[in-house]
Amino acid sequence: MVVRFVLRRLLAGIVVVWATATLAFLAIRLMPGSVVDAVLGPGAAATPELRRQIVAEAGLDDPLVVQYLDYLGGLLTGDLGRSYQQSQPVSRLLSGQIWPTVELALAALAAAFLLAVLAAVVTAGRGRFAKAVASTVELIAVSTPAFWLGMVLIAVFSFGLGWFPAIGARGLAGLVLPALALAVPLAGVLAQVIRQELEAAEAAPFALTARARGLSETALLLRHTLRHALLPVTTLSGWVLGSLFGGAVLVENIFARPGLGRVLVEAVSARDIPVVLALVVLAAIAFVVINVVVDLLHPLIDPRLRGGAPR
Amino acid sequence: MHDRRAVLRLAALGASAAAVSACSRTAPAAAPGPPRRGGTLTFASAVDSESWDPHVASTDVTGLLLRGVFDSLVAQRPDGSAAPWLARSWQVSPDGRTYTFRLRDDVTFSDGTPFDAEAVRLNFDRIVAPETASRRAAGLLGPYEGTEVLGEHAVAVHFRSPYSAFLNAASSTFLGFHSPRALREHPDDLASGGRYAVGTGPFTFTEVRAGQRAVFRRREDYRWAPETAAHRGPAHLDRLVFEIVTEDSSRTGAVLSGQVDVADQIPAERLGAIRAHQTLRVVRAVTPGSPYSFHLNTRRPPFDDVAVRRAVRCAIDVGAVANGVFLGEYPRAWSPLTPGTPGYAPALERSWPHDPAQARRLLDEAGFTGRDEQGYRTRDGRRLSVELPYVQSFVSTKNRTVNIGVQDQLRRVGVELVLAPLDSAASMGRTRTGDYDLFAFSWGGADGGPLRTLFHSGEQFPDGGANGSRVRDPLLDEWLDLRQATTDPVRIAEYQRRVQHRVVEQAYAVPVYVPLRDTAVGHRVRGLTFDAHSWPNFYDTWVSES
Amino acid sequence: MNPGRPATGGSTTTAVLGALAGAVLLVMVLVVAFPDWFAPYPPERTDLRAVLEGPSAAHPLGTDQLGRDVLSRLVDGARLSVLIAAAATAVGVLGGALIGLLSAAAGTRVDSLLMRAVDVLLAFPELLLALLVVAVLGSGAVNTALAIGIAAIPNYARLVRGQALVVLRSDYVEAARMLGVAPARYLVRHVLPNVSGPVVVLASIGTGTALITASGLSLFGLGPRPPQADWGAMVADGKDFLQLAWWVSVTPGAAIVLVVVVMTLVGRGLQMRVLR
Repeated sequence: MVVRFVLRRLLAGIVVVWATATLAFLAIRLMPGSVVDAVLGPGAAATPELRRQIVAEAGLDDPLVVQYLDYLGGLLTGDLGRSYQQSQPVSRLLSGQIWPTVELALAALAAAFLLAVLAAVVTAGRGRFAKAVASTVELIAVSTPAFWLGMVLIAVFSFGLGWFPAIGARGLAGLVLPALALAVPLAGVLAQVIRQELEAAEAAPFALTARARGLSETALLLRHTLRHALLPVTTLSGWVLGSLFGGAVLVENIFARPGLGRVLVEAVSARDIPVVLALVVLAAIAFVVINVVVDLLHPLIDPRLRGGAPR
Repeated sequence: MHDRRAVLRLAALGASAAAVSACSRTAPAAAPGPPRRGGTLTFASAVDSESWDPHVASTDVTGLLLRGVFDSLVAQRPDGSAAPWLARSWQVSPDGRTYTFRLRDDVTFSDGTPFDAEAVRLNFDRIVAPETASRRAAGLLGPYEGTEVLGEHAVAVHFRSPYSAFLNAASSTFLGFHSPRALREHPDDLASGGRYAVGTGPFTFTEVRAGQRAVFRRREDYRWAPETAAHRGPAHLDRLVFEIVTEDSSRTGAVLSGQVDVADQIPAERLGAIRAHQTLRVVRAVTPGSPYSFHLNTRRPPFDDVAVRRAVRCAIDVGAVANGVFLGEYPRAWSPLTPGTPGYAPALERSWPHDPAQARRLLDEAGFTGRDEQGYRTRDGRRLSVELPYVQSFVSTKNRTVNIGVQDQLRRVGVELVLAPLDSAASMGRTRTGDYDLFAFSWGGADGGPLRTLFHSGEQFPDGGANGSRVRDPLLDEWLDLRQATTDPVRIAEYQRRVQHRVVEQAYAVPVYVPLRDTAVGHRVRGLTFDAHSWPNFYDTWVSES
Repeated sequence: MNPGRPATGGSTTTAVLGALAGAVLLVMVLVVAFPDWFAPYPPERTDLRAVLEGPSAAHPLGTDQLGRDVLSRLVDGARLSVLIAAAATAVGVLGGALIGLLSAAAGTRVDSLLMRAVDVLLAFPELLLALLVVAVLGSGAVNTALAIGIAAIPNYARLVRGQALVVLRSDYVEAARMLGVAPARYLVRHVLPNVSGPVVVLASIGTGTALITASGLSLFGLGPRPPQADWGAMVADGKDFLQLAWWVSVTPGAAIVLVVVVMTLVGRGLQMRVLR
């Protein structure tokens, strides 16, 4: 059952990746301006011979269909093409950049969860005033652009107090501020969801039964209601992944951290087409994989789904 | 020689005292002593190399980052003359078209391949080959015709026309030599750097991570340093690490906290923090070349009219802009060359005024007498509006700020300056066809070369030059051609002087500020030297035990 | 970001926050409509002798790196920021309504095709999509608004389709269809009014999101052209001077947060009214 489910999801995933790759390919080919200029970059000695050379080398004089098939063929064999700007294979260019982004995203995710669960647990079922304060703080957190928060954090903790370096990718100390900048807006959303679910779960019949059996509030929270409340959060994972990567693009640039986000912005502004395409496809693959994984995890978190096949 | 002149110039311009004291090419060591062997030096670079193949890359920083890996035929002395390096001696033919080099016979690449005449031929031929798509090195080879192997260690380089700048060019990293074996075995990987980059230099390239870091290790059997170096034999440092830290605040923070030993291109607003730090010193150098300038398109209205060009120049308070944006740290510019460049014409200083009244008068006389509802001048009902296209990702925020300051000053005399951000491809299209009114940039180069690239009629953008004003001035062409054909320093200086005066007189370009390279150096760093391009050189550098 | 979560606080808090939000909204409208009432100087006026000066009587929020008055630029940038966010939302709502209605009204095949496409687009963060659209269209204020709007279309398409399906399956539309009423007619007559409530709620919150995305684009220099500056560009301008002059980028950032909070509160207020 599970195998068939996974296969079906993977097939759908491949279609999604293919559609994304095709859309991106077409959109980028519709760009105005000459690709040759993008290859050359500014300040280059661009003789007519050099221009012809580049056109021939990049296959830009082939018909669009041939270029598209070439591109798809390359994708299938794992060949992402060569970067125009850095004249080296895109895969070699990206391989060193994936971990810094993943590291940042994971750290931010962990921090966001921690903050959100803490905030929700502390305030759930408390008085009106506590809840009002919490929801106001959450609202402000949600409304704060991650890049601006990052700058404020740098100003306060790096320049002001000197607690953390403003420099990126140097061990744990360098990870704290960027991860926090990315985590806070996310935590705002997660805290709202978790608190709502917590309150719903605490009012649920099973909670009453558990209390009647003499289960302590803490045990109840940890063993039952929290688990219950986290389930809807996992369905948000696609959105969470998206906002983490979107935020990383900005935060990496503010903190001068290496990573895919920086590569993307550089590639977009230099119109390094193979790199942009590769990043789009990579994002689509990540999306598909995460969704399959989350669907597989659901039964583990929610006992009710165990045994039966997921939809 | 030039550095001392630069010092005096800066002093005359009223640059800060700290700038003057630090403005020698050799950073003064706090406690002198014999060089210590060993240790790692970490250098924070503001820019990443565009490619790790010096024959392909165009970025200046490539020359710095790869200097330790690739040696040159000759080295450049501070006075601009050439010193032996991989070439023991050389001769220039009377017609200036052939350079004959006798090479050292004891040099090997780090993969064991011997360095010989054939290696020179292979490398130079590769540079000009179209499939290399060289963005800089091919230009440095000028009118290259071919290389002739005269013997195992004798080689002649032929040019189609006299090329007096060749020795100068040959001293740069961009004309360095890949191992013939590397060229043969993995020609497609040379741009990736790391173990693929094999040269004859005192360091080998051991590790690279794009956009982050490049690591180099000492070569123990190195013994062919040029006479311009302070010592012979292997380098002092065990390891040399370049961290790419593009964010200004991060780079400054890294050197302040001691995470790196040296950080380059410290921005003006951070100098205060560096100077206030007890164990750091600032080493300042003038970047040779052309200052950040507005190049006015002389091929189309309104800047085909010299009166309008002069009016615009009068309207811009260059001094106030430079002073305001760079917080008084960088001097304003007067000439199309920076004060650190050989051949700089100091007589141009204070030779043109900031005079808005004069600007208004000139514009009135040019017929821009009307005013539209936004207060801009008009002629025949058309607004006096000029457009400056720029590439967002390649124009620093500082330069963008300068542009906005200038925009406001032009507005005050009724001229609209439209700043048009473009992506690099669109911008290239516009520059190639000359579809712009102004173009703003600075241009590097240690010899008089920038003047030719910027103002010779044969150096238009489509030709691979940088003639941003699209000038076609027979006088300039004549002087620049004569300068190229001669090797007599006195005559070279004279032609350069004439060109600079002519450019200012005709207001082809409005120079704005002199970019300075401020390098923050930590207390354990000793023997850091700067080359003629004002880039640091690490061969003689060592670190004291902290 | 997707701050579109219903409020949970008590009704008094909601009322107080609502009143506050209303007041701020009123001020915002006044600032956008009559900038001259609030700006002490022309926003583009430089003063190179008063660079990076801290808050003072002459310059309540200090000056920036060209000696321009930060308050005046903030007021001037408000119009641009708000306009871009509003225009982007309009594009998103219109495009989303079109696709959503089409998807709901057309057959299953078209519906599943469109929704698959929407799913793919939803996988990407809005900023990323907007970045790609800007890469195709080029930068500038209009293109920024278009890019963000296009990036937001999937969100609205999803919502409209869902709502429309409910209405389309209702008895009275069923009846209208049987009576031979043209689809265009009952779509406009019955479906649109029923869909618009939730869309307005999402749009008011979405305007805040669009503002954040727009300032993100401006941070990369892909927003409006200088000297026009939206708040994002102002934040970017001050980035290098955080240590010397925090006010240059902290104030426009705070303004962004304020407006997004207000728009979210407005959305929640509407939600309670509309979805009661």
